[in-house]
Amino acid sequence: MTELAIRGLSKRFGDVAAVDGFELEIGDHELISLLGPSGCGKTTTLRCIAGFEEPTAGHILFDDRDVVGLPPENRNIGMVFQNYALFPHMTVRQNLAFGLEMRSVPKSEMAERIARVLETVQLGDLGERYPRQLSGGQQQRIALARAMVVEPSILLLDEPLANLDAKLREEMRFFVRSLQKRIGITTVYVTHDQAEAMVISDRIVVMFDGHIHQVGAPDEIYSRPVSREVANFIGLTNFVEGRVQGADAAAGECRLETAVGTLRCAYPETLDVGREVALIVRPEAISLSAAAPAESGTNAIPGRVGERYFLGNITGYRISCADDLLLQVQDDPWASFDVGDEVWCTFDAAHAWIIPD
Amino acid sequence: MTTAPDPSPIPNESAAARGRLQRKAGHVLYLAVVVLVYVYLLTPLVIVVLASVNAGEFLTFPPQGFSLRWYVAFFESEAFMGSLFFSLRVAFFATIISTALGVTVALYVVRFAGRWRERLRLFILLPLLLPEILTAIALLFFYYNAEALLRTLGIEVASGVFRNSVLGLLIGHVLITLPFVFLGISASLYNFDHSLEEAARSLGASRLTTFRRVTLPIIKPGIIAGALLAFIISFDLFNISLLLKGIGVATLPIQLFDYVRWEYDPTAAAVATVSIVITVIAILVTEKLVGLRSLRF
Ligand SMILES: Nc1ncnc2c1ncn2[C@@H]1O[C@H](COP(=O)(O)OP(=O)(O)OP(=O)(O)O)[C@@H](O)[C@H]1O
Ligand SMILES: [Mg+2]
Repeated sequence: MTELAIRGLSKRFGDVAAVDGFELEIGDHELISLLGPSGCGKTTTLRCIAGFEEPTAGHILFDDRDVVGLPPENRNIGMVFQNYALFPHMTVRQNLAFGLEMRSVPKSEMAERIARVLETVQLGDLGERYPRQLSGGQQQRIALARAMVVEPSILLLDEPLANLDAKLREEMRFFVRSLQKRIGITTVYVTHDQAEAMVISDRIVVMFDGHIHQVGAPDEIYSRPVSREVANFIGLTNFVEGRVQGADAAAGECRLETAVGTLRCAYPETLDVGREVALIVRPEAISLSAAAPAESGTNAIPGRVGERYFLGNITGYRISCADDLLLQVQDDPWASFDVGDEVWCTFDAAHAWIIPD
Repeated sequence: MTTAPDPSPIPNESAAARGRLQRKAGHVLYLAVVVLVYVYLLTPLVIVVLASVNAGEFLTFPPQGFSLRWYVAFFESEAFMGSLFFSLRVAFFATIISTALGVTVALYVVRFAGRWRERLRLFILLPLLLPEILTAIALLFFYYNAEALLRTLGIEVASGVFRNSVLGLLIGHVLITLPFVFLGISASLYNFDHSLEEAARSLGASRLTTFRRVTLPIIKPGIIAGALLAFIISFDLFNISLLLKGIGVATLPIQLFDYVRWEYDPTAAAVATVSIVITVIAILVTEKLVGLRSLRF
């Protein structure tokens, strides 16, 4: 299997820097997602790896071999496109055979490998159909099979599930992930759907405007984002602006002075006193109570219920606090506070995080 | 917000019935117009076919009895048979050359021309937009001058190498038919999904293999549709053939024109019918190969 290293990759289209200074090492067997809003350069990065775009600068190494300048057909990649790009004039079997023919695989072995990969994607009996005779989900799996049957060194997927309906999309996430784990192929997966990236990835690369903001495991990206953009892009977030009052790196804690009182927060690094920072806390980390908490260790912010909505598994609230602060809170579906109720929003220091601006 | 003025009171039963009737009448009228258009298009064809099996001596309608004697006259006429095969030959080569050029140029214009695309498209369609006779005259002048130019450059060419030869005629036919081929092929290229080629490349196919195995089969209907039109149009060209044909040869339309100037027997109708049959055969072959849907642009 193959390790992929990307060093200082940049790609400009005229004045637009689609990708700028992209650095990443992807280990053997790893599934990495490129996640970010539309136009942040995910597809461009993927197309540079595939060889469809020539980087403006930087190196792309497959197992220490620089592939920049190598045409796509010589890179031994497997690629899945958003619209699947199945050859409409060929049957499923001919689609799957295409890459094997290019590699001059003998006929008998070809038949065997095609049968095996059709089995893998659970579409054993569709070999003689044309792509137009398949459902979207089936086309998607054939596209996956076509990319994998050639046993590529790297698998590249560009929003492969974007054209499926919501239900199927969720199912396919697990399908893709378990397939990738079983085969153990190094994979780069492009998506702008954060839930998809969370489910599928070993690590997520969060990009904005051609730059990497953060690389990390899904839980790390979610609970310890490094920038406002990352925190905002992934899940719902509350920001509370404040000033560092005191920090104790040894205890891993930091105190902030904010408009709603002193808040405490877990943070492993020392920050200068007086520095302006933002505290973030996720809606589900906050719980609501009618009375002020007895414990002095937790953070507590008083407020009034502004809006409430029911989502089945949770009830969501928007709490108006002092200084125009609006806190989003998600609580048990059976917790019952009404619009207008005075409440206390409490959360643990361990569930808050700081973004130094 | 302001409300719209109150609409007319709720229509009663008879008003609704009247509306239905009006719609129906409109529909019938519409169908009648469409039928008339088809009658307009097809009547001359029917009459020419009927006239060709006329037993009488003259091109008259209605025919006086049934006879295939004019077909016999046609097939026994050396002049007509010669010009028929000459026309078929010219159409055949013009189609081949036009199609090859059309694929090449359409690929360039659609794929690589960038901001020049629309201008280049227009240029190649010019022969379609200009009156054929102007194109023919321009070509004729060009041939005169090209000969002189080649001579002054010291290149020895036979007199009338363009003007009086199949070469000159063929160039003219290619020029006229190229826009049709171009339209057919570029339409299918515009609709072509680029990621198919990238998929092929990612699977290990070189540019050339990708073109041969993926691009070409998918744009094939457009190519065949364009080639078919080129063939039919070349077979039918008159003005340009009249000006550019060599001395002593004639394409079928010109031979026919010469004939009806002096004779008025139904041979002309037989010739016309044979032309129609050839066109129909060309269309049937296309239908067999790629389906008539590919004739849509
Ligand atoms: N061929 C091109 N020519 C000019 N600009 C381009 C080209 N391809 C991409 N860009 C620009 O580069 C930037 C990044 O585009 P890219 O397609 O990589 O975004 P993306 O992250 O894949 O977005 P999306 O989620 O919408 O697919 C965009 O600003 C885009 O307009
Ligand atoms: Mg994209």
